[in-house]
Amino acid sequence: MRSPSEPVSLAQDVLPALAAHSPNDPEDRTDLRLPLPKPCAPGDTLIFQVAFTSTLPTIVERTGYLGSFHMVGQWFPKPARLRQDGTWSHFPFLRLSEFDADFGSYDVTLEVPPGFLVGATGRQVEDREEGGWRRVRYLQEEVHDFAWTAWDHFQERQASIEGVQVRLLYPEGHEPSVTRQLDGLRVALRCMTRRLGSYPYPTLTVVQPPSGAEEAGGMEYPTLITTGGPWYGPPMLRTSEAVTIHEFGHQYFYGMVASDEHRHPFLDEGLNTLVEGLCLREGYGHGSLLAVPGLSVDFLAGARWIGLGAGHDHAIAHSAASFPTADHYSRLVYFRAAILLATVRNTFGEALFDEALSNYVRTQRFLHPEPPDLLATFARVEPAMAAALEEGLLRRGWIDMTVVALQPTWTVIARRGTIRLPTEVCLHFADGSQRIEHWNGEADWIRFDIEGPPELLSVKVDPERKILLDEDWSNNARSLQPAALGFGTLERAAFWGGLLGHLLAP
Amino acid sequence: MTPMARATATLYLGVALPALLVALVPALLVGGLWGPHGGDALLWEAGGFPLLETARLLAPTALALGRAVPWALLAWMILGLLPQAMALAFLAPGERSPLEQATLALRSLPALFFVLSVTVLARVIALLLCILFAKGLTPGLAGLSDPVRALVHLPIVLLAFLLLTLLRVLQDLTGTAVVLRGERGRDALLTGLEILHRHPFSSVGAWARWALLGFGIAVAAWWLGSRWHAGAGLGLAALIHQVGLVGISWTRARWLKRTMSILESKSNL
Ligand SMILES: [Zn+2]
Repeated sequence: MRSPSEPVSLAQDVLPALAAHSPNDPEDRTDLRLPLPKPCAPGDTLIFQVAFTSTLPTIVERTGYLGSFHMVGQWFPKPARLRQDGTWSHFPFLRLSEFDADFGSYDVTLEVPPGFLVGATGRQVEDREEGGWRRVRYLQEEVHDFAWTAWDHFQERQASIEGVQVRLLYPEGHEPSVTRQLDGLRVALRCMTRRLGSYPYPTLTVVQPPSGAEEAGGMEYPTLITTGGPWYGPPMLRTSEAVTIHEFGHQYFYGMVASDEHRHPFLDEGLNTLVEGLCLREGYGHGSLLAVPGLSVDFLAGARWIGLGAGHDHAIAHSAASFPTADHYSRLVYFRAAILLATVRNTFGEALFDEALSNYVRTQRFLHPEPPDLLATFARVEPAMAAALEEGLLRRGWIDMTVVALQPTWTVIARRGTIRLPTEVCLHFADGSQRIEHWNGEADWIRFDIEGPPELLSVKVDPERKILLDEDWSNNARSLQPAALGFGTLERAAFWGGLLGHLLAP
Repeated sequence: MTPMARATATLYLGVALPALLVALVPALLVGGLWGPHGGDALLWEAGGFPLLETARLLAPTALALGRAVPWALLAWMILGLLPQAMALAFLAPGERSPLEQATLALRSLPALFFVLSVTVLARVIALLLCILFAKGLTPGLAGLSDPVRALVHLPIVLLAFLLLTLLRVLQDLTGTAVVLRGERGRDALLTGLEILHRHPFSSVGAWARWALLGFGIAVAAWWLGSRWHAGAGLGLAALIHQVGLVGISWTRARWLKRTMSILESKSNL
């Protein structure tokens, strides 16, 4: 490729031809089309020299300023990516939608007032004062975006994790939260390099925006992530770690595996939310969301609650712009996708699933995969696994395992819904014995006949609750002698009620 | 049975019986969901999957029931006057037959209700004032770091806590004046205020000693009880929890007894 300093034979001002080009949105000025004076033939090189002014908003949707704090994302004209099929990946800057771009090499020099700390994508190769300004230069190859931040109140902390130079920039007083974020990063780097392959960049910058600029938090850019959460890092809740692990996970799902976040948001958010849950559990055990004495809550248990909340109103695999509400977008794309993936992992086997996911990430590194690439990778490992994923992701698939009948000598289990998954059925007998039956889940229902004695007492389908996508776990069992009262609940509620009574007592 | 034991038992039953009745509601709902699964022991499984499933499935029911919560709390406070009056009657010096004790307690109820209403209203006003004060402070703190901002609010939280404590002590002293001396609500409130005014530290200190002990017992019972959740351990957890509630009732009875001696020794100084 020619360097910009060489003579340009065809140099031409093309700006007058620039025109708004947002399908179905005449108001939009973020998606522009630039016709070329002459077609660009295969093998030709095009060099654009662009002078532009970017006016930052006050913090809104990931980017902007608050006082002297600046988080600068989506600030330069970014060329649309040409897809394999010859179409352009282009779309307006929307509230829900994220981004898509080609890989490239970035060489960016920033000038800020002295006293400002700067964080940016890539590695810093220059930092000097000149003419009353601080001039810093950053380089990074093999990335598809460049973001930076500058503030004269940043505190800074550095650490080396698994050979990566980590730099944390945060407001004064946020040390407790930053310590927890660092811990989260250690968990994430260890967990993800093992599952998904190495993190290939030498640096990672973690930015915690100040109070009032929270909207800039919880966002991913290549080698730079923004986090969030209260300064003290709430005790017993793993939210500081979760946000950090999630945003770091995007270095894989978005950063290296550069799927189109606008068209297929589940490919980055859904897969990333699953890996976030797995790594949180790996680092913090069963209390990966909340841990208090006598009670632990797993991140994926929370994901199930949120993920089932939008039902199957809409397929998961849709473009960010097509969801009926922001609530649907987050519940379906992040959480329903994550619990569908976790369900497939639990039911077909963790080893099989992990192998397929690892293959997908390793083969799609520095490429732009689409949903068929994901499904094909899973199908190569286990076709039924891919079929279940396809049904759940592309076609509003759902599942509810149910015991529909129980008699002393027979029982019927039904698979309501459309996703076929292998499962277990546990038969409990009157003499206290039990037997586990395996069911491939292909048929709509299955009947078990018992030649007693002993006769059946109760039956449970999916007794280990592997099917996180199951619409209702309470109907997964039937008993001929059901317990009428929750004694554990009674005991605890009576205690806490007693404490409340003492508190209220006159 | 000593008067102290009788007062403790009364205070305990005054909280344990209503708590058991209220606890039946979630216990029946949870039984309906998980009864066929062999009971609700699964709610305390590591990872909390069935627990959150219960919350998810029962959320609409809980929201509907939740509308009754403020009224239930109010009713609970009002009903709580009876065990308090009975406990005070048991603890009051002098020989009384059980019938006389019951009469004394019942006769005190209207005045106790008046005192409760006034002090609850005062609590609401005190809290509102503290919140308004904290809100008024916020714009002036823009340049400070988050922990410093929190630190600036700390005195307001402490002030709120102190006001609630003073009202609590006032309420108890006043209640004792009602039962012990047969004072009417307004006179009893004046008596309580006067004692608080003249001896703020010794009255609040005496309350704090017993309240802190009660709090310690509550935390210990919670921590110990949380180590057993289900099956055979459930009975043990119940025992620990209920002994804890008895212990807290005992600290309250001891404090009520103390209010009597404060009233005796200090009101006429
Ligand atoms: Zn994300």
